[in-house]
Amino acid sequence: MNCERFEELLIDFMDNEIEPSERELVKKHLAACPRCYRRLEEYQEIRRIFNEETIPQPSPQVLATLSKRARQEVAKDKSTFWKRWFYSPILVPVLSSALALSIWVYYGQKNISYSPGETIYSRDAMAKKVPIAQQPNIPVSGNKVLDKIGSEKHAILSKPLERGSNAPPSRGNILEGIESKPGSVLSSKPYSIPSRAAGKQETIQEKSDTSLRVTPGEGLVVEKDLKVTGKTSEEMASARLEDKSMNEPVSIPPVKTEVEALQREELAEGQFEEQAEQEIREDKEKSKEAKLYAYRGSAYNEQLNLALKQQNEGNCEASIKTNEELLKISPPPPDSVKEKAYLSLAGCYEQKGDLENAISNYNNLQVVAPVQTTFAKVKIEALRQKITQLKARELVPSDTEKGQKSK
Amino acid sequence: MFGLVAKKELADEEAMVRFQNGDARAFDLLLHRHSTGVLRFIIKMIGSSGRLQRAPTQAEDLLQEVFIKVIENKEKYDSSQKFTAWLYTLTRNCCIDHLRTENHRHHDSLDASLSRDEINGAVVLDIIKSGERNQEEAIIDKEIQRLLDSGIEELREEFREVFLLREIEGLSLKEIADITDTNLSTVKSRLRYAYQNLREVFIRAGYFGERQRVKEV
Repeated sequence: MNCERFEELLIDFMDNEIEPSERELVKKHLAACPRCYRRLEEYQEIRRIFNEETIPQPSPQVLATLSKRARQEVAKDKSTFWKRWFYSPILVPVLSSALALSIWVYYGQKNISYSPGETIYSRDAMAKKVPIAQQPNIPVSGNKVLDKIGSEKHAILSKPLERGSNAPPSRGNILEGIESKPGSVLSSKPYSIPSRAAGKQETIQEKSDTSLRVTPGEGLVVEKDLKVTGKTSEEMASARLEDKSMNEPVSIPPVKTEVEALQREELAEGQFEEQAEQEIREDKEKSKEAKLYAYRGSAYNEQLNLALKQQNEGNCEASIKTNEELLKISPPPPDSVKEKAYLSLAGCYEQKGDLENAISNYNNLQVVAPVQTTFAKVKIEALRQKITQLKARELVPSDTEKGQKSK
Repeated sequence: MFGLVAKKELADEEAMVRFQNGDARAFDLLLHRHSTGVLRFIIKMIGSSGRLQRAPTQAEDLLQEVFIKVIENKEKYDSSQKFTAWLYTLTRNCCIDHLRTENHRHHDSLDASLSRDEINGAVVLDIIKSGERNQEEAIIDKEIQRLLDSGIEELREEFREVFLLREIEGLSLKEIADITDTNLSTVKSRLRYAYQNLREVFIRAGYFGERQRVKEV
C-alpha cells in the first residue's frame, strides 16, 4: 500500500469502518511508514481537541419556550382532529344511514319468525314486518262486507279460550294437559258438554263408568276412573269391546277438538273468500253500471243541450228531430231529461204552428213530470182555444172576402 | 429538565412517532437529547465563538427555529428514517439560509486567514516554549480551541458541514451523504479535505511540529 491509498483509508481506519483485509494492510503500512503514522496521530489529535472543547448549553428559557410550543401544537392538533370529524361532510350521511339501518334491523327482526329458507329480504318476510294491529284499518277495497268479514275473522282467531267455550285450545296446551300432573288435570272440574248426544253420553258414563272431562284450557281428556275400577286402560278397552252396549253405533258427540276447529277455520276462510269474491264481482258490476250510467247521462245531456240550443236559434225542425232522437235512445233517458225534452218539443211545435203535436207533448209532459201537470193543462187549454178560433175563422169568411165575393 | 428523565431505552424514532401521536413529553425527550448537539453544530456552522459572543442570541434563535420546524413538520417525518439525520437536515438548511441571508460566511482565502492563525499559533508556541505548562495549561487549551475554531471557520462550507456532522453527532458516512444530498465517495473526500485543512492550520501555527519536538525532547 502506498501513502496515497493510505490517505483514502485513514478516516475509515480512525472510525473503525474499514474492511478487515484493508485494516491489516493499513496496519502494515503504518508500521513501515513513520510519515503516515504521524499523520494519523495528527488527525486523532484534531479529533481530541474538538471533543474536549466546552460544549455550549442552550438556555432554559429557549427549551421552555420550545416545550410550551410543542404542547400548544399537540392541543391544536387534537382540537383540529375533532373539528375535522365534526364538520366532515360524510359524517352526517354516514351517521343517519347507520341510525336508519339499526332501527330497521331492530324493529324489523323483532318478533318475526322466518320459515326455513326464508330470508329477511324475501317478500313474505317483508310483509310480516307490517304491524298486525294496523292491518284491519287498512282499506282493502272499500267494501264494507270485506271489512266486516275481516274483522269477524280477526275476532275469531284472536278470541282467547274461555271456560266452557267451544274454541279449540292450542296444540301445546293439549299435550300439556295430557302429560301434566294428575293434580292439575284430574282435579279440575269436568265440563258439561252441550251436544245432541248428551243423553247417550250419560248412558256411556253410567255403563262404563267413564267420565268425559274437559280440562280448562287444555282440551278434552277422556279418562277412565282408574281409581274406582282398579283396571288398566287396556283392560278397559277389552271390556268395552265385550260390552254390547259399547258395540252399538253411538253417535259421537260433536266434541270440539283442535282438528275440528282447524277445519272450521278453513271452512270459514273458504266462505270468507267466496263472499269476498262475490262482493268484488258485484262491486265490479256496479262500477260498470255506474260508469255506463255516467256515460249515458252525459250523452243525454249533450243531446238535450243541442236540442235547446237549436230551439233558441229558431231552428225548430232540427230541435224537434234532436229531441225525438233523444227520446228514442235505448235505454230511455231519465224522466228529468224527458221532461225537458217534452217541454222543448211542445215549444217547438207551438212555434211551428203544429198545435196538435204541442198538445200531445204537453200531455206526455204530465206523464213524466207530474209537477208540471198544472202548467201543462193551462197550456193545453190555451192551445185548444187557439185551435177553436182558427177553425172558426176557417168556417166564417172575413168581410173582405165577403166584399170580393159580392163584386 | 422539566421533571423529565430521558429514557435511554426509547429510541429517537419511537419518541418522534409518539410526538406525532400527540405525546408532548416525547418531544421534551428529543429536545433534551439533541438540543446541545444542534446548538454546537449551529455555532460551528455560523461562525466562531468570538462572533457568537458578539451575537449571543443568534445561535439560540436558530436552535429555536430548528425545533419549531420539528414541531410544525412532525407529520412529514418518516419513522423509517433516522431521526438525527432528519433533525440535522433541518439544522443544516436553517444554517445555510442564515448564512445566505446574513452573509456571515466569509470568503477569505485560506492564506488570508493564515496570518491570523500564525499569530494565534505564535502565541501558543510561545507558551509551549516557555515551559510554563502547569501554570498556563488552561490558557493553552483555550488557545488551541480557538485555533481549531478558526480552522473550522475557514473551512469551505461543504467540508465544514461534513466534518461537524461526523464529529458532533457521529453520523455514518451514508447518513451524511443523505443529509448533504451527495454520494458516499464525495463525503469521504470532503471529510479527508477537512482534516487535511485543519492539519495545515495547526502546522502553520507551529503546533504539530513543536509538539512533536517537545515529545522527542
